[in-house]
Amino acid sequence: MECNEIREKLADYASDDTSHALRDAIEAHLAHCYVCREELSQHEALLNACRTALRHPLPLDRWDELRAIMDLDVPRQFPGWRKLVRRRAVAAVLATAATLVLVVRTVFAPAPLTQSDEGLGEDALASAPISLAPDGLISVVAASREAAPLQRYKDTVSYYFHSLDLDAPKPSGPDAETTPSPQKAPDVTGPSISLLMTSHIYA
Amino acid sequence: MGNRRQPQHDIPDAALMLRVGRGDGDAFAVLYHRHYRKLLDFFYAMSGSASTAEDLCQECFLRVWRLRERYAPTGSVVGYLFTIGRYVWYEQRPKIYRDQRVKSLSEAQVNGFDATDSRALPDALASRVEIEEAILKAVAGLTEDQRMAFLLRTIQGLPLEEIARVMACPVNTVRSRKLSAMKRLREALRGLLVL
Repeated sequence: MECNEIREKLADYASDDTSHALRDAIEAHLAHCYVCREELSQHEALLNACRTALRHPLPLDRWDELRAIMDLDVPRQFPGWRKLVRRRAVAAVLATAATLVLVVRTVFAPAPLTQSDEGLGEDALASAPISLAPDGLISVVAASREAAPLQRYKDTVSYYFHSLDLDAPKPSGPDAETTPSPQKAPDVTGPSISLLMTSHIYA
Repeated sequence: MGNRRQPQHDIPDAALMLRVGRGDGDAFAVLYHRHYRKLLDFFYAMSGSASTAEDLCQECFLRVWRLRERYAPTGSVVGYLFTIGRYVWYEQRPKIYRDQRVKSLSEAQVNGFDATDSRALPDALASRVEIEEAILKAVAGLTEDQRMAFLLRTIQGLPLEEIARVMACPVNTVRSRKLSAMKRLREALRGLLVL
């Protein structure tokens, strides 16, 4: 190592903050470099002077005074007081956190579906009879369809049967012969389509 | 059983501190007498005032006693003491700096005198007092972080890792603060210490 590199490390070396490898390298250099040895002696002189000057000049033992204060110390006579305060603080933090969670969930919850959202609204669900699935599911779907606008759903069902190459329910009525196209929505009511489709899926 | 018969002076710091945590005043006395000089010197070098150092040292040990139940043996007890000492320093420093403006000079002159020292002949005493005053002044000219890192490493001999825990900063930061302090002290004392 060169003198410049060594000099940068001499302060750490003087305060014993070098690795073993670096220490060996520095000592090998110092063995033949007078200038760096002088530099090191200046660091050591500074540290020695500070160690002498920065000591308390008249250190008095004030243990008795401290002991007297300790004996009079108020918190020592009421050890349960702080624990109680700490427990109450924890309870307050937990309550605040729970309230925050509720508020966040309420504010950022998705808007409930309404009748205009394809019929899966609260009104439809509320009007559905409660029974076990799959009957219950069928009932809910049927009730939902009943309460919803039907046109879009009818188109969907029509495509459904058409894509599966199934016979769509035949429309009935006086104009049945004039509208044979599968693209045209069958003239059936919401519940019947829903029941048909759901039962088909379950089958 | 063996532990009970063991003299308190032979017990390691951590075990003593655990006893202190259970309210053992005798263990605390041993701990106090083992380490109060270190804290006293630290506060003296930080504040430059002997009486302030004594007050801060007492306050620090009183704080250790009051917080005894919260002690957890994660590092050395000396490091724990200096951590509390650092908080005490930061808490008290506005008052310390205010008081220093009034009475620092006269006290520093008194502190240098040691009648038992055979070298304390008038001329030698004068030069020693001058040097010590200059060193105290130069140390006071450092930033607080530099001063603390320098004192804890070079005067108190704490390892860098322990100082990093005390000062709540990375080890390399401690090292750079210490090196900056040494550089500034060398510049400040160049004329006085034949550096």
